[in-house]
Amino acid sequence: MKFNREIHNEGIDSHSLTQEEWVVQIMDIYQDKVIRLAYTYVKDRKLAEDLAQEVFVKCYIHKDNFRNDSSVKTWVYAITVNLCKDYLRSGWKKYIHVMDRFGKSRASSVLTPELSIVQKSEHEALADQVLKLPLKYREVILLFYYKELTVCEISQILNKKEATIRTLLQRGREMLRRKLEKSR
Amino acid sequence: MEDPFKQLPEILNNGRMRAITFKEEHRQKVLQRTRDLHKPPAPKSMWYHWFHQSLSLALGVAFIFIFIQFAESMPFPLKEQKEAQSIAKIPYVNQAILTKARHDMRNHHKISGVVADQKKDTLTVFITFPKNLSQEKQIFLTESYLKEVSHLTLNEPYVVQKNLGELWNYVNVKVYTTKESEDEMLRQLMHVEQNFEWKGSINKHDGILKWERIPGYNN
Repeated sequence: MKFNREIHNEGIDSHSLTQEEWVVQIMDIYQDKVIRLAYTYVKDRKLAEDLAQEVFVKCYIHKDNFRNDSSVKTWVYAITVNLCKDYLRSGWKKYIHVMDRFGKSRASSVLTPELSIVQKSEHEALADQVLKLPLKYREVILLFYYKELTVCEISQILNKKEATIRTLLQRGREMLRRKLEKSR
Repeated sequence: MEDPFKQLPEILNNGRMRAITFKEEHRQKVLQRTRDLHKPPAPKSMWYHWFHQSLSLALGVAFIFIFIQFAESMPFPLKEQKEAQSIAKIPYVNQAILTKARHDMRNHHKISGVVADQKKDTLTVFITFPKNLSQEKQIFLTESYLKEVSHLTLNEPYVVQKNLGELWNYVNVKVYTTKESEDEMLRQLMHVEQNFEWKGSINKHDGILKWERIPGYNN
């Protein structure tokens, strides 16, 4: 059902719905996609949940700013990406990040509980390496392969030229391959 | 060979992303927040208004108080400050001292008249000596007068006085002297201005009494 709605221009008719119904529909379609995309940026489940909520509230507030020259999907993803980047740029995040790195440097060999339970398969290693890529490559790789967006859509979301996206994609792939070969 | 990256959705969604889902409670929170956006702001209680106004008043008063304290503690401009300091340092020879010195000079040394006045850092003295007094005696009496003024002003004992007294390191002196003229009575009756013969001066920086004859003196 959701899938069908998404296929048919995301099945959202913003004119016939109230603002709340519209947000409910947006959440129905994108809730998991948004929270998972946010997770790829912040790598923290709680934070990803908070940011996802913030994304839908923003969608509600800025519904009137949505222009039909892009799809709802790219619009929602663009809001998600911008919010996550705002968070990563914020002073509080930098502070937490520094503290986090400090903590890691003291116990660098200790794996998180989640990671220590699972014996890493090749797939896990790939997922790990993707999430460890520098942000500019990681976001392009994930939007392209994980979110299965086109280069054109990614360029709209990240507000960059298509050629730049292709270059970042190429470099990201090479970096990832090198890392995977090293880890073997 | 299949591109391994194409398996990323499957890998992530079935792997570490599996547990990351947007739950019903999150949906409810979003909806609640969207509803809250339309709510009019809750009316503020009387306490809030009272507290707000009191705080504003207290802050206003505190600001004015701090501003006044600050303004009072502001130093004068440097030039004015230096001037004020230098004026404060200059001893002032008051009229009581000058009167006492004049009486002593007139009573003990039979000097006809002594008029003196201090303006800022300069004391001006006009002395009229008896007509038969020698020049040396005139100088001696003038110096005695200045020593006494210094003694009375600074309470310095005569025995420790150096030269004409410590006062003249702070105060300039201009002493105009003359001898009583033959027709003194007539001059006074006709209000003719007295001509002075000698001018003695002490500059506070060198402290030495220097004499010079006033040009154009005629007796």
